[in-house]
Amino acid sequence: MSKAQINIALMNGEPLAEGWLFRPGDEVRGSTTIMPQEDMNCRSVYIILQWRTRGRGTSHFQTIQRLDVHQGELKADWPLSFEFQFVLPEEPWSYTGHYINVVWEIMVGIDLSWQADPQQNMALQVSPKR
Amino acid sequence: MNTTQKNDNRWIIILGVVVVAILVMCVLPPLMGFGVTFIESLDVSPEVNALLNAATFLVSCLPFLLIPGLFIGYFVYRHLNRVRFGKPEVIVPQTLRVGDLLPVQYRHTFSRDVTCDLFSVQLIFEERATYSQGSSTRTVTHEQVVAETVLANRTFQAGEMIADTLQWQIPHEAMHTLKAPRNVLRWLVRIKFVIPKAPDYADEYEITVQPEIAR
Repeated sequence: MSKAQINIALMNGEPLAEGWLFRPGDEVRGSTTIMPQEDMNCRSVYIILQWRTRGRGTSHFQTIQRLDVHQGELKADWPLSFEFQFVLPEEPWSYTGHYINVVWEIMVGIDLSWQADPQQNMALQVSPKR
Repeated sequence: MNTTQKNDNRWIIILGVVVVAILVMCVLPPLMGFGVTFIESLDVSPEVNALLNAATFLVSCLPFLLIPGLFIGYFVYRHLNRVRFGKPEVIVPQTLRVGDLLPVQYRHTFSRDVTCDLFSVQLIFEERATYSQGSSTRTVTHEQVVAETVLANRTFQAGEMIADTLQWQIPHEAMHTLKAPRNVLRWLVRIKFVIPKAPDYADEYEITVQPEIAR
């Protein structure tokens, strides 16, 4: 069982069947709620805007911005909420191909010492108006 | 739109040939040495002995001459068509935006009579993904032919010139060029001659498509 339940909600963007649509250069605003299932002492709670390649090639990750929103104790069943705001760069655009996909996402995680980080992702579609 | 895919195995083949060549170079001379020592032990005349030494020297040298010779022969064969009828002149813009028009100008004068099974000019969007498999690195490519002009079964006379200006477009729904480590998306104009009983002639011209929409 995960050590924490993490929810991500966006306040803007166009909803799609899978993820949310944004234009390059758009602002992404949202919030995340973390519900720890047990007491934890974390190095940080982080929110990341990143893109990565997925598919046949070795994955390449690029973090655009990282926010460290909390350090220290997380108490069981004490929810914590954080708001975030990022500005998307002009490139790359989201892409789905044969061997290569370009995926944008907001990732929220809890950085724990010597343990796997509980994480949650939300996919974004970054595509210009055609 | 037409799609093709291929595995890039050329380097594995070349590496295999080099390894085999090194093994042959290492194994053959000592074997010859053993052979000569054995024949000498049979107590043959000095003339026969001198002949055997000369033969040993020649056979020992053979792989050192033959293997580079094979490589040079392969290189000449691959580039035979470039030598035979030169390099076509192709003018393409280097940088474009998504949705931009793409003028492709080509011109070529044949220096000798050539029969072509196929002459094509293609606009290609290529995905090139590199990954590790065990201790080796492999690259796979997937090509999407976005636009194409084909001339088939033509004989070009010596002195004949082909020239045209094609007007293509980077589609509005297309992706821009992306060069991430081990994940490359790129646009190419490829000019290709398929000539019977000779290696194909192909040349590529890369176009950088910027992440911007042409209005």
